[in-house]
Amino acid sequence: MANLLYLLLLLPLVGGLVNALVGMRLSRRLSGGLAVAAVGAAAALCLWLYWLADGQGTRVSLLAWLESADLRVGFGLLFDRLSAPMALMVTAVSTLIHLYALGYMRAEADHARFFALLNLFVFAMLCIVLADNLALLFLGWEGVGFCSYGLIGYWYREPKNADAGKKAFLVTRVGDVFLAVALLWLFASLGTLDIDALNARAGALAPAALTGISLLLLGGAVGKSAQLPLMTWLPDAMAGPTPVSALIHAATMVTAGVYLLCRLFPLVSLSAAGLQAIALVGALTAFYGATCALRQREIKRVLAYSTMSQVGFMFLAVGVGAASGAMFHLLTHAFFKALLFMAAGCVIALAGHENDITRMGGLRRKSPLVFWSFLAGALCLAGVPLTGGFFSKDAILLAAFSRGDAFHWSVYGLGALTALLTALYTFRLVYLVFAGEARGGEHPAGHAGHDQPLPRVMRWTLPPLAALGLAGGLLNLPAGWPMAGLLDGWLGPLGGAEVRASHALELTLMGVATALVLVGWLLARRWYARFRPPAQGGLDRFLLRGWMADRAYAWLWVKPYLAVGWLLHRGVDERLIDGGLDGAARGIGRGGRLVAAWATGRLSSYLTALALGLGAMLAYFLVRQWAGG
Amino acid sequence: MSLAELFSLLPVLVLAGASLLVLMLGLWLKHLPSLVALGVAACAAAGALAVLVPPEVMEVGGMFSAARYARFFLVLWAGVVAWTLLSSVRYAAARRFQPGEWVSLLLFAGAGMALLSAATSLVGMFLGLEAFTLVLYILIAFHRGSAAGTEAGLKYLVLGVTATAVLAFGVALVYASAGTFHLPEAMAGVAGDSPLRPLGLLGWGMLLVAIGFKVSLVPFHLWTPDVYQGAPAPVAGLLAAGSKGAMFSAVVGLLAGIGLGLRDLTPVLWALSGLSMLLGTLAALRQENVKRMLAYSSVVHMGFVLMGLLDAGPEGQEAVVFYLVFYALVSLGAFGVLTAFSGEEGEPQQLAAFRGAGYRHPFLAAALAVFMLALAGVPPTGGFMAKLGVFAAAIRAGHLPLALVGVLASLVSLVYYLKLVIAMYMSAEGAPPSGSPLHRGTRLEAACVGVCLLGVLLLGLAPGALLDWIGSLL
Repeated sequence: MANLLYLLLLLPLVGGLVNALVGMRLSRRLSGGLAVAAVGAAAALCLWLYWLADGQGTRVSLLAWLESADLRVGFGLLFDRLSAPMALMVTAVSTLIHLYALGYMRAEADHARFFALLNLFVFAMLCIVLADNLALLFLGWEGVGFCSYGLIGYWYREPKNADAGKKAFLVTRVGDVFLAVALLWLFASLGTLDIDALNARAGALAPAALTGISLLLLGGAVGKSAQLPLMTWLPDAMAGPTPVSALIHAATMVTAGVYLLCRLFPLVSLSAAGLQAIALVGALTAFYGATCALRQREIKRVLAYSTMSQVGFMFLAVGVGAASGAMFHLLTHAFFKALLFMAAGCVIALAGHENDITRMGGLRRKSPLVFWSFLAGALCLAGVPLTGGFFSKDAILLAAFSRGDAFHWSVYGLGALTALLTALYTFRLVYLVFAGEARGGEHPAGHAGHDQPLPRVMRWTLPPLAALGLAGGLLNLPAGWPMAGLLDGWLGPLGGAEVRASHALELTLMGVATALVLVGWLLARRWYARFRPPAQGGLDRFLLRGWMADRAYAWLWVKPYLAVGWLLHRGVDERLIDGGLDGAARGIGRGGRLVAAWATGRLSSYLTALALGLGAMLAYFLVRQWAGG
Repeated sequence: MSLAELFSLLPVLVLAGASLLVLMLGLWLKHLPSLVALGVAACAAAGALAVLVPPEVMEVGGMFSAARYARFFLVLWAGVVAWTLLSSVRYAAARRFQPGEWVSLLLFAGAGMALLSAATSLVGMFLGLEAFTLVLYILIAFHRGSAAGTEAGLKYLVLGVTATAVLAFGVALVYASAGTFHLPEAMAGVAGDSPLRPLGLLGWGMLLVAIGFKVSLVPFHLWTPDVYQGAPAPVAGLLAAGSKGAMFSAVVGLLAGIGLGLRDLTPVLWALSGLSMLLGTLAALRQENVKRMLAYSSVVHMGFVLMGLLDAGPEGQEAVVFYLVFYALVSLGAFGVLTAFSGEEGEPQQLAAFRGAGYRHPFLAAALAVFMLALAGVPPTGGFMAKLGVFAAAIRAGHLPLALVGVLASLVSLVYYLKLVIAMYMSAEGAPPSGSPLHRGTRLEAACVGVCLLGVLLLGLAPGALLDWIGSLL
């Protein structure tokens, strides 16, 4: 029975391989249907086998992958209380997004490549989630990076898209190096890569080593999850098809960093400095992302910055010791953010392939279903009371506040401010897109949208996600409510420290959060309910360009790097090395001519050489004999 | 000489007897293939006798050994001669070589080489060496129509006679210092505190000059390119594979008895080896003539073998013998391809003649390319294992700088070996070969080349079997 868990990995892998190898020979229906079926079957299987995660969970080991001296790495899976809900979320959300992609990609010629990469992505993501050792996790880690690269640059004929793919790959690579170093360090000091064993033996590490490893793990997580300072790739990654943005750059891959930290939480939590760093990175990124989202003009970039910001909340949760809070927010966020992205895809199609929200407006009347679905996602994102996003964000802020020291209070402050900004930019988005009259600009109203109605499969994947997002709070209601703390109870010790807070404090904080959402909404209504052309001030541009991070990095890293590369290429390689080798080759060639010229062909010169050699040899023996006495 | 001693010498006697028989038969029988068949049969018989019939005494007349080491080389040289006979049937017929004399001389050269490898006394060494050197004088100039061949033969003769004189003088001096010709006792004169040590050392100096000439070490190597270029390709192959190998197999025996005296010789051997590797490599770089390039390459390789001899222990000897077997195979193969490519008019010698051969003669060109890579020491050919062995021997004996010189020489040598490969494969396919087109080669020739190719690859892929065997001989 337990061995059926391998099917979880195998199904998307086989689906991806079939599409990669023979996909273009299959019909569009078959190729897409295969991809959906593979992931859907995995989701069903995951649900069916869910009971295996109960208790201590189930471990299965298929075969040894690497074996060398002390290093033993197998294809082993760990299906426990942490990985099971994550795997279920990944497969379920993937299934809906795959379905949505059937409609979205209906006119693309190169469908097989898309579905192959999408399925392989699910495979790699499940490797991360289910791995029982860090080596297999790292394999998945690199796998999702590769698939992400391939999918961002899916429309590779446009250099902008290919560049975005490259950027995402390279920037996340920086984080991967930190993770790889952390792996090597862990193996060198503890002699194992097994996750359970690492968590159990982490106490044996020196405090300094623990902090170092925690920071390195944070470095890896920061790259994959687009947190400060490795966040620049995520907005550009929106160049990929919308299902990719929904699946990879919102629901699953960007949360891999959070999952990694939760998976190794027993280890990470031993280092107080490491936790503070995680919390700080999370809070700052949450704030940074929210400010940038305020002034973005492309709908997908707003969502990208909001993703960054929300993942920041998850990091904050890990940093304040509430791994269960992080997982809670991760799950609800996956639902409502996938929903928002998919609805945004519909919006873009309805607006005649227009990305700019200042040119949209009035879409509410064009498709009420899309509007209500998007609104459901937006309510969750803004944290309107009783939605899933409200409970999960609130749990994080409560956990931060209840730690009760200056650092955590300031982190809480930053988080609360971010919550306000979140409500503001979310409702700005809703008002600009759906309210008022269509501002089609030069596009005649409903240029493509009218003629081509949205495929049903695109529209009807939205309501299930909307329901999941709105009701997501049921997963982990706060104390005092019926069915409270389901996820906390399920995760048990894996969920990190228990949050100790009085009921009164909890209610107070909830009230504060509600007030903040209300303020945000009122401000948005006041500013954006009636359309005004966007301001073009210095601050607006600064926020639009993400605090000029790209330019700063260009000056800080890219340009010096190019200069060093130029120097090494032109100066060291071409001048020094090539020149030196060429010179040596010329010298050797000249020597060769000289030596070959001895063979004159004349017998007398040969005899002379023989005689000289004989003389030299005899002289040597003579001198040696004489000197040696 | 007792009957038992003659019996122990039987395999060599078979070769020599067959040589005489073929010489006489040749007066009436002008059919080359049947004489070649007879010669090959004699070689096979000698080899079979050497393997199957154990000798009754281990040493014959105090001059020649019948031990396993000697028998191993006898089989090897008989094989080399049989291979040369088979691969040169068309070559010899096209040039109207006298069938009886051709086969007879080759057989006699085999007998001489076997005697040299079996020598246990300085006299035996001298006899064996001269037996096949005399034959080679004739064989090099065997093609009467070729002026270059005649010139090469004359050069080899004059220089060879000089070297023989030096060798005789050296032998006499060593005898004077030790009072015996027999090895290893004859080496006692140089070792230790013998009063006649200066004489012994002087004799050794002269021996080294003569040996250096025979195996063409710098600075006694100058004859090599001229002779290789002028000699018929099969004879050049025999010269490279057989005569040098036989000489070195005897030197292994010489050095085995020298003991502490090696200390006195080491600087000389060091210098000879280093100079051969360096200057041979340099000179080979500029050659446009493939046979001259192979001549210089043989200078370099003999430098490598000498480097292996610096480690007088069994492991060093093992490496040297392995190297000799490998070098015999690869040079037979390379010259075999040249033989197969030779038409009626002449041999292809210039690099330009090989242009595009890779596309017109896939098998022979591929084999030649593998031989070149093997000579350069590229894995997985036997050349890599052979070089590895002698480098390891040199490092064991504490001559790291010399090993580095060897590595450097190997590195540079790629240039001239690859030149030939590039000419065969990377020149424009359509370019018409200048001069006469290459011959396609007969099936027999291809089969002979195939045997060498297989051997060279086997030595690289599974060197363990031969190494163990050699280890049991020493």
